[in-house]
Amino acid sequence: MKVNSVQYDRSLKQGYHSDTGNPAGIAKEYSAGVRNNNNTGYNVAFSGSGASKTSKAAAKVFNNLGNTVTDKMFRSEKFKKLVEVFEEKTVVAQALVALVVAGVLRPATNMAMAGKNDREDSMYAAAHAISSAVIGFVVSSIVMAPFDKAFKKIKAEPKKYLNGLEDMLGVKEIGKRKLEKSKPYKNISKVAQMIPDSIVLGIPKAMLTIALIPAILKYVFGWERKPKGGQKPVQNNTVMAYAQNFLNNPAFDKFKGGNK
Amino acid sequence: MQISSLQTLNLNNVNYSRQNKPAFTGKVPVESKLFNPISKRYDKMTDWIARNYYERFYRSSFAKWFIDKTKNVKNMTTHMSAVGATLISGMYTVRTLQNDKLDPEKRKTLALNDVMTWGLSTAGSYFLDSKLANWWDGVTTRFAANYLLDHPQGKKPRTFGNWNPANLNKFMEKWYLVKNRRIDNLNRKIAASIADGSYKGARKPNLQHVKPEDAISYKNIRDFNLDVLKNKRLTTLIDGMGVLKSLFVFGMVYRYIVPVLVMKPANKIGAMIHKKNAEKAEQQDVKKA
Repeated sequence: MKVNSVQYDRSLKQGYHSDTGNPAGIAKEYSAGVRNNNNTGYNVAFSGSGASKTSKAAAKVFNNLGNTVTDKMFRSEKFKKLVEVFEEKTVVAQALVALVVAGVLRPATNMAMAGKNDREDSMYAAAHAISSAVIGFVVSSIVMAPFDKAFKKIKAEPKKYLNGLEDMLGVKEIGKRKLEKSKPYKNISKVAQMIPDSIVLGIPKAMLTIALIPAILKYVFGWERKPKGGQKPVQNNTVMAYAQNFLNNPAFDKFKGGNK
Repeated sequence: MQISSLQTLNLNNVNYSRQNKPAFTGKVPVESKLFNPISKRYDKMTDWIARNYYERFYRSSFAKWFIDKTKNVKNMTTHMSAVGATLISGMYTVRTLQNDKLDPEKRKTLALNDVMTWGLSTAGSYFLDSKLANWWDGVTTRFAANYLLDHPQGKKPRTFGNWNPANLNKFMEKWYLVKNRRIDNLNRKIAASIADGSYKGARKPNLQHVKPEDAISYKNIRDFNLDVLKNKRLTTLIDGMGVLKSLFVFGMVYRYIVPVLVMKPANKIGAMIHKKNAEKAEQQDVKKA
């Protein structure tokens, strides 16, 4: 589109401007407009002329912006911090989601849906879910903390660590801004961030999860699984022995579920 | 301090200025003997990880190969979550198949159950993730609009004037018109001030319009922010919103929807059908006898 053709598009109603560039003037503009929902500034009434090729949904005006319950949540600094954690500490955030879903929601539903006949199994399933969530969160948080800090260093000083990778990352030069736009950098960074936890720690975490089940059954549900058919109680109480024992326990095989 | 004493003060008195110089009482941060060595070592350790893990990873032939193969791949978080879940589900399936305490038939059934659960969860996650993509883009744009409401400097008022973030979608489409209009106004004012001699040089005369090749209508808030608003924190937040959606979808589907809300009722229904069939067979056996 030629810029000349749109110079005189009167559909864009611009309001008062602070041409002086004076910060005080700018602050005055905002206090008079946005904050009080009495916008004196740019408030467009688009007539559909110009370069717009977007759908009606995309051109939606946000009604009552800043005042709905969702907006209030979006505007809270705590939510913004949480969103930053999701980007900068993806593995910890993943474990946090698991903690809420598998550590609270899933056991609660398991117990609520439990019938008289399968109460024992439901309790065991709930213990497994809590164990998985807690182990996941604790291990990921501890192990990934130095990795996250190291990644922050890469982001802060990309030239120091990634010099010479311009072609591979599809940028003219290595710099914070340039890399933000690079899709290869974004993709490979996410892989680098998630490999230590998802690939390397995945199986040890699963083993540890199984090892923690008896403790959760005992201390959370106040219930101890008795050995069936006169089996001898476990003598060797090392973590891996527990893991091996419970992994081979037929009761464990009653579990049906995806990401445990 | 009493007012009368203030009245008699001679501020040019050298002694006064010497004696009454405000003494700096703030404490210079002293390095903690206990924690400083620990934090130094931690810092060294993170340096080591940055050099020996991240840098080596970026420079590896795997990274080069991976970037070549994933040029058009979006949302890597989703794929990495799927890979992690596949690995763990695979381990559980293998362990089930190796369990000597179960008869071979049961082993196969349980392993199949594991595989089906994984398949259903993975397919369900990808399906839900893609179905929510457009809606979530809208949510993210609204989130960005709220951010701009709270951080007016992010709207680049020097360049665009005061615009309402409630119109962010429209602004993303026609930002360059707003900028050009503002440039016209500024040029007019500057020309007038030069003419009447009041020009102070705060802005250069003859500001140029947006170049035609740069006058792009944006649909995506991330691209718009990267190219036009250039707000670093907003980029992190927009990326974070994408990760939040993917992780929440995967967490819910893998850990809740499929194993609890789908598989458990499915198993109960299966058990009921099995029980009914067994009863029927038993009745038929009795009749035959």
